[in-house]
Amino acid sequence: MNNLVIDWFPIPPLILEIGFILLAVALFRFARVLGELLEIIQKPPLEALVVVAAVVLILTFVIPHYIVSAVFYPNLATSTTMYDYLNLFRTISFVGMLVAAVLVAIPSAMYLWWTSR
Amino acid sequence: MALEGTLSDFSLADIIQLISLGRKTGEVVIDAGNNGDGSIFFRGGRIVTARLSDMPAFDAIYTFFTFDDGTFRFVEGTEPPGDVTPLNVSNESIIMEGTRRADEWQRLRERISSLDLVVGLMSDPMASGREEINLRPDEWKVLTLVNGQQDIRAIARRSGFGDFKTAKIIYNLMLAGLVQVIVEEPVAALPAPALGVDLYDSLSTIATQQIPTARVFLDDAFRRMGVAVGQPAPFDSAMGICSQFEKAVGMLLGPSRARSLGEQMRAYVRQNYGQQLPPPASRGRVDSLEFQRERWEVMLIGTKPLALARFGRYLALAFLALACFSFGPTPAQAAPSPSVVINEYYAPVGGDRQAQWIELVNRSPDPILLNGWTLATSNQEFALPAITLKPGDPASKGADFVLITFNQDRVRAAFPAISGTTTIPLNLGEGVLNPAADMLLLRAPGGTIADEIGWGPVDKSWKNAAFTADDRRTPVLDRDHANGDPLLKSVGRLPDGKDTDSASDFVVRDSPSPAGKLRPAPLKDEDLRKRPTDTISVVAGLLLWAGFVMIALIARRFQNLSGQNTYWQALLIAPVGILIYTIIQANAFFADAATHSPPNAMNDTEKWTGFPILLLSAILCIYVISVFRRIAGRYLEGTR
Repeated sequence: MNNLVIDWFPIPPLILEIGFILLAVALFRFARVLGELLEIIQKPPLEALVVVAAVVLILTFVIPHYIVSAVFYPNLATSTTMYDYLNLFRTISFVGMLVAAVLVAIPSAMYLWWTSR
Repeated sequence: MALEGTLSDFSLADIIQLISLGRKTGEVVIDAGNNGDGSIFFRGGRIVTARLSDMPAFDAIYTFFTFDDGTFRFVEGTEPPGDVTPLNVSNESIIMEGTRRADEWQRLRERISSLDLVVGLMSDPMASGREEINLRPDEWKVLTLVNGQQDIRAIARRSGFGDFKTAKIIYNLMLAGLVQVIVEEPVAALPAPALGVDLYDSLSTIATQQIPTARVFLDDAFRRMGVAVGQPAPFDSAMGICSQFEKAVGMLLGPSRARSLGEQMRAYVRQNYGQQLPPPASRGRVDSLEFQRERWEVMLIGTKPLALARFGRYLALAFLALACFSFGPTPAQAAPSPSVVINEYYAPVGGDRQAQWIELVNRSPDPILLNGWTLATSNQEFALPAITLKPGDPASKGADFVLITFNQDRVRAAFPAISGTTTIPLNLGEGVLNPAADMLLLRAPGGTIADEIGWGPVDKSWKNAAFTADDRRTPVLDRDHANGDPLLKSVGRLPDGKDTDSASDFVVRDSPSPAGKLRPAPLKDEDLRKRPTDTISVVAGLLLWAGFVMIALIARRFQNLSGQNTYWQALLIAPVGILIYTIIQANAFFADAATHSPPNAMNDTEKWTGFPILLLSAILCIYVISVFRRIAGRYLEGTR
């Protein structure tokens, strides 16, 4: 692990991270709307799931994906263990994105279902 | 009225008072020899303007007061030039200020005996013992013009301050220990060597002792200084050629060796121009002006009047940081370096000596033909064949790597991953690299050194020992392995192609990666079902896009229920960037490994397409969701 090269500004991956942070901000705003809509139809405050989704997106996708790009990717040639770390963090980030996507979809789908009846 | 005489007999104050009493109109013509000649114009006994060189009227009048010698002559009836604005100051005030300046000029003469003095910066400004030096803007302006070649008169002309003010500023700078008199005559006036020294041949003889291809850089240096090869050059131009040459070879030799070579050449120039130069001590200060300026910059940057300079520096740094942030490569990667570099070498300790290899990479944006290139080790040199290296980014594996092998079969057996890559077999049977101490020297056609690296102690018996630059020494493989197992490691640049001309470019690689191919890739198969991470990623992307589409559907539902226009169509379109990103990602993950290295990663084109699109989509999502929120909020507020 000696002589680790760290690319603090991995362009273009940093563009992706900023994009996902902004998507998380969009989800925060959507949660506010959804909360009011759910309140009108007197349903449970499922908008909390959307807030959780936004947090998950940042914590489990943006940060691990940044670490992959800044630390593991530039050091791939030094050791095969870097590959293991890279795959581990990629898995964490993509699973995080999947969880966030599910958490967004559930309350939205529930609202559509409740209002269609 | 005939009024004329010498300034030593009549002071200027007496002359003005006399004309004032007589309420005369006319011109006093003053001729002060080397100090210049000019006129003072009177109308009705009042001074209306004055003329001396290009000085403003007031500066001209006050400068006349400083003249000790010279003649004057009053020409009655001469009107001042029609386009001048008359001075609105009484004669008495002018005389008082002029007399004061004349007295002050006497004081200045303690150090400034003549305006023909050439002044230069002190070689060691800190010797004055001052911790902090405060300069006013006008002092700073004069200081920037002090270059060891201009006399005070020239500095006054360029600054626009006039002789007196410039001399006063320089006097104060001398007192502060910042400026000193260099020579009595301007250095720039020095003639070229009388016998027409063939500067080019002499300098190239010195330089080629260290760089065989020095003439290439010397030609360029002559061209930059506007000096024709074979013709005598002025001293300044000759020194400039040395500096240009030093700068050019700095990238190849390293700063210390380049400076040393530059000094040798400058010493030669000084020696050959010596008879026409001022005493050696003074000359030395002029010659090292460039170095002095660096010191000055460091010292003065902290002084108060340099806020603008400091601001400019911060602005430049901020711009540089922004440029680094915005346009990709890190500063280290952006450092100037040759086009083809030695990227990695494999000379294992205790391993198969026959499997040694050396890897080159083209890091330039253009294809490079290796015909005429040579690669040397400590004692041998090999000509490279006519192979074209394609351009690309080595760090992203997009560049063309070429592998030089000593025993092709053994290398292929040890590293099967190199199959299909470009190799240059030297067919020597076994490797010639010594893992403990050796060197590699890559030369371009004509002998120009493109890259050189070395490791371990230099042996003076080496044929190419002179080329092992100290600042390019790579790590040496650790031989203290206790159990005697071979060290099957390589030494290479990290990231690939990184070249800052320092030893830190190289690391010991646990996993040698010949021709940019990482050995045993952890991806074990190409089956979609067995690559869960990639699949999860694509599914997650699609689901996230679907989640944002549902927001559009919710807005549409709200529009139907409330009758409010929610622009749900925009909400439907905004997240399409997520879908595009996911499709590009899926294409990269499941594409042929030959076009993607590492196999399950997006290449640069895909990244630069997918990531910005997603960013744009995210910005749109924020905007349209905010609009929806505002519309819904306003409606719901009204219904409560």
